[in-house]
Amino acid sequence: MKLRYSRLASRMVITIIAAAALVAAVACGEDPTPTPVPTSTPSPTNTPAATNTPEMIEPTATAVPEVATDAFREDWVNYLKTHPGYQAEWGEPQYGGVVRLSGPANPTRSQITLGWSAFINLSFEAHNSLLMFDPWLEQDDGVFCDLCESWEVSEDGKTYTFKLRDNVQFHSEGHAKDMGAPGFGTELVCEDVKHSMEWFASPPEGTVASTAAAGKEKMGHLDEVTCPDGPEGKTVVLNFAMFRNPTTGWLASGIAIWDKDYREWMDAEHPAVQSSGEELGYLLDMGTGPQIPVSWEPEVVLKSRTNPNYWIKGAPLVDGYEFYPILDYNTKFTSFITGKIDHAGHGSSGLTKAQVKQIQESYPDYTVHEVQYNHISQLPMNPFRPPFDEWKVRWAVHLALDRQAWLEFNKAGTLNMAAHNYYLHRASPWSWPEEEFLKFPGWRADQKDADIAEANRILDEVFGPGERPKDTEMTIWTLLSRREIGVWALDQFRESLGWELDARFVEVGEWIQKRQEGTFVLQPDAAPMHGMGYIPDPSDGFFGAHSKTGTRPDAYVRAWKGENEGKELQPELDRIDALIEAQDIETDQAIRLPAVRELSKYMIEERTTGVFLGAMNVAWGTAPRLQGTHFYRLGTYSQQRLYDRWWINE
Amino acid sequence: MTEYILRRLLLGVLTAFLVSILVFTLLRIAPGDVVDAILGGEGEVYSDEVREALREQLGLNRPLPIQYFTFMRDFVTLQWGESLRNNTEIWPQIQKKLPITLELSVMTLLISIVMGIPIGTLMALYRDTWVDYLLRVFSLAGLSIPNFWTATMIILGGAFFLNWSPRLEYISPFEDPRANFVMFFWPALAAGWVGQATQARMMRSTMLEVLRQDYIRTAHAKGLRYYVVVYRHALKNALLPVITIIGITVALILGGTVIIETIFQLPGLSRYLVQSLQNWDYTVVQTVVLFLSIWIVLSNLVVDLAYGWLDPRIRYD
Repeated sequence: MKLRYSRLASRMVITIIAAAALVAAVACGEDPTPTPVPTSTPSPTNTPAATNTPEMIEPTATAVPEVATDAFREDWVNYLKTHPGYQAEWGEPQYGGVVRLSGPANPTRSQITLGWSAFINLSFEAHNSLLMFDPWLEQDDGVFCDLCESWEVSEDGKTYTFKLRDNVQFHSEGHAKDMGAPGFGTELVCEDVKHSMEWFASPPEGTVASTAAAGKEKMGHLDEVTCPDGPEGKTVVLNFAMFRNPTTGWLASGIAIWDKDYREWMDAEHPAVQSSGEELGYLLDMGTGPQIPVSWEPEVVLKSRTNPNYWIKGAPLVDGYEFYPILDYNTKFTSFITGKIDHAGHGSSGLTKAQVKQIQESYPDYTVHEVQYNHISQLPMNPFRPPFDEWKVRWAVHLALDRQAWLEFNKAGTLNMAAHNYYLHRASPWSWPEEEFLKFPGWRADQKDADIAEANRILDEVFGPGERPKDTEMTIWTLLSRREIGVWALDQFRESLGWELDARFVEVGEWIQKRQEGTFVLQPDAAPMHGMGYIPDPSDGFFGAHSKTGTRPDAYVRAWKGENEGKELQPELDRIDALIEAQDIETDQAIRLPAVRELSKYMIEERTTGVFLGAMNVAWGTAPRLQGTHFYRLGTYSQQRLYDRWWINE
Repeated sequence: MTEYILRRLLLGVLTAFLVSILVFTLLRIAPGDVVDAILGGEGEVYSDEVREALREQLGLNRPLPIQYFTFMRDFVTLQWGESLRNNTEIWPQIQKKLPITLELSVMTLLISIVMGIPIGTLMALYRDTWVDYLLRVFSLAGLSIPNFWTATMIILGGAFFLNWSPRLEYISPFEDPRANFVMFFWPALAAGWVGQATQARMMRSTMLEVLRQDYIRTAHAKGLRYYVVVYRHALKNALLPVITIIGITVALILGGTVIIETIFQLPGLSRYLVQSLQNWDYTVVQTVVLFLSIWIVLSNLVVDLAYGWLDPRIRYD
């Protein structure tokens, strides 16, 4: 009977194996309906224009720029091929295809918010601003006209006069139009610019805090916008109450120009887009930009298609963009190497170190870009909570953490995912030269042992010989960029200071709440706290820490040296604020440079309560078919025109 | 029978009520807040005034009992409201996402049954031979290895060896059945491997028990063919306890899809729940969890009623 059971079972085995093989064969088969790629747009047939390059201006606020050339509007491909940023290995610019991007989450901050969101690159594609940075050059190469035909700045740097381009129209189609929004298909005129600029300078009540703060910080000194040729005219005059060094850069860093009626409609009908970052805002975006958002399926895909009436004829090259929120890093990676997405990189969530190595070893056709991100990896310590309420403890940690070891920890293949950085962006001419700040306490590699010994001596003095506090909590946000800092810091505390921390991994809501309420003790962070978020001007970094306009909690920016211990915080903050403001309006850049550097040194060594580890590099991957990709050295949040010149080489 | 069903339904209502209180309370006790999730991007802080204004706008400044009763009233009257996070209406989202989770669950269940019952039967038939040991290892591995690891290995293996990765956009079975099947097969396999383990083990033990019964010996004695004895007499009787396990598996599968949907880019209800949890989106989490708990209560009721159909001796008194 056993034999017969066996025979019966054998039949079952064979049947199961056959069925499994059949199912696997079907499941492994080539997907018969790959993501459709729209047919290519025919190349424009305009008469080729003469070779031209964008005129550059000096990166000082008072420089009066030359009139920007307009020839690129006639032959976009020729313009690109003769552009100084064009790279021959990219091949011939081609039309057609859809670029597929990915990010780790649904887009947030759906409306344009002057930065503070990695999603701004994508959302800004629906818009233009008065000025722009050239996406194929570097930010410190200057600013150029975007919606303006020409522009000039008065001698005192307080009045900007823009001549708007003719025949620039707002999108003629869009989701908002279907919902009854006005303004579609109308021509850009002065009153649109006036309304948009005034909106940013003073956003409506309830606007999400980051937008309001950014508007106040960057355009708060805007006094008046006038239209000398009338509201329907093409001349716009911006009168500022005072001269400020970063004004020109900020004008180029993503102030979207909306149609006046559309903007008013949005504020009236969809206030939640501003107050809570309602995601529908992406779909409702309307401007003069090269892309029109066409669909938005939360957690699935956001799609935009090329604006058929874009004012630069022949631009852009691609038929559209698709953004896929892919939460899982492995899924994103496999989608990238199998050709389902073209660009694996979004904000701080690019490729992991292991993935960089894997690509370099196994996928030589793929490019991994080392992008100098504007985040600084750091370890904030709460000066209002024990044991870090004692400045000596904070100083000891500052001395002990090994910045060189941090760089080694962040090596990925041939890429460096971290770099030494001291307050301002390391590529900025305003920041301390590396060879100088690497001699400062805590940073000097050749005296690391001595610094660690001194750190332990201080801790022994505070806690008793060999004694270290128990249960010092470190709350670590599970996001990769924060997790890595936390895990590394755990080892550093243990090995260098003999201090066992109590690590607690938390999700974003709790992490932010602890920071907001100041209830954290130790909290690894990577943020553009004291780096340049947008533009290569030091004010952009400093104003993030200004006590009145800044967006940092007190617990991040309290003075921490002994001489300030126990003193009232606000007088000290006022003093620093005054220094920040002084360099902001200093017209002599030779005087400004040493002032900026001394302020940097003071901020990082005496005021900031976080130990800075260094600048965070991110690895963004591009597939072989995607070309024209260039990423700024500075201010990665300012890449509003990032996608304008990408194309697909099929 | 009617009385039994009514009683079970009443118990189900009580269960759902308790679940609603539990979820509502846990969400408020857990550290973190939807307002912070909305306002606090990278590098941002905001004033208490801004925070309070948003709390008021979202109705979170009201007393908790009022918030709870409002939620329950809205749920019962099918006014499920909007996500606090992105203002999208919840019911249309559930309508869109539920079929995806259902399809994944059904396919997972089918795979777990198709794998679990034959494996369990084979283990019983080959008891204490190398086939039994091998299948036991395979089966136990499904139970021991977390499904997220299996899922990750599937997508990494697929990418490196077959240049395959999960489809990024959902495609309906009515639009392209084959592409839809491909999209769901691998996630269902990763989740189904877990489900089959319990079923296979249960199947093995019940099958062994049944095979020792007198009526099986009688069936053999009267000269029935072996496959008739196994399939018609042993299998059907051994299946009854497995049906119970399948009922429980439905709930387990729902739990498993939370990770699986995320890894395989399936925009189902579970992924919706995960994202909403990460964002402290109270209204969505409460509504979806309550909805799922009602679903599980009803599916268990259906399984219980299926006993009567499978075994006419069972009566519902």
